[in-house]
Amino acid sequence: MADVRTDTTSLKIEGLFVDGDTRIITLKNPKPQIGASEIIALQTFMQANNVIIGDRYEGTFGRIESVTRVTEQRTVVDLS
Amino acid sequence: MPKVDLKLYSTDAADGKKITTSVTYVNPAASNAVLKSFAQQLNALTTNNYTQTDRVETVNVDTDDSRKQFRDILITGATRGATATISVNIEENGSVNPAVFFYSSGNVQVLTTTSAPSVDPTVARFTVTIPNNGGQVFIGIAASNIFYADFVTTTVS
Repeated sequence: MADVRTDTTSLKIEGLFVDGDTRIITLKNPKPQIGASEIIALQTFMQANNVIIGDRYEGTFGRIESVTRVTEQRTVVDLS
Repeated sequence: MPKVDLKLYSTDAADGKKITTSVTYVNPAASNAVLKSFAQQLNALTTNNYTQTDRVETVNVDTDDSRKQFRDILITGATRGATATISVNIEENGSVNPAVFFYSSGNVQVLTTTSAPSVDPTVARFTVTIPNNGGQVFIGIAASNIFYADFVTTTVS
């Protein structure tokens, strides 16, 4: 049996609140291509509706600070 | 205000496995429509198939905020022209202010509670005079330090 490798990808959206607090929303299986306009549209909606609040002082949402695509490669080594 | 979290449920497009995405500390004042739109926008950044979104409220029972719980609004004797009694079960003594409306033939009328509320340790009681025609009685109860109000209706035929 050969080594078994699995890749998992997640998207980490970091939000910045007006009091300086940050929070990260993690999404599994992001699309291969995500445009800046999609993130900006999401940010605009979050700002207009203050959808999420800071988890330290319940601060008002400021902006999306960063979006990171994280890929994790796991290899189960064949020990036979 | 309670702590409100959002749970976005979807399935993996490749193997159909269920995925739960939690977003904690959602704005408690956000409407369900806003939360739904937000969840669907998040899901649109993925290849997952959207299932549903839940709004989850958490109430901390440790906080000493003098919150009074009430339940079981009951109205008895709601017939035309009669004096009906509204009773509300409450956990603690406190002020309970009912808003009672009567809807009939497209008109809404405010019904005034005709007696002072009597409160024993567990029940608050009010009376209202039902108008002499058919309609629906709407009762909303809000009380000091309670963050939600109960609401019931009774039909008068």
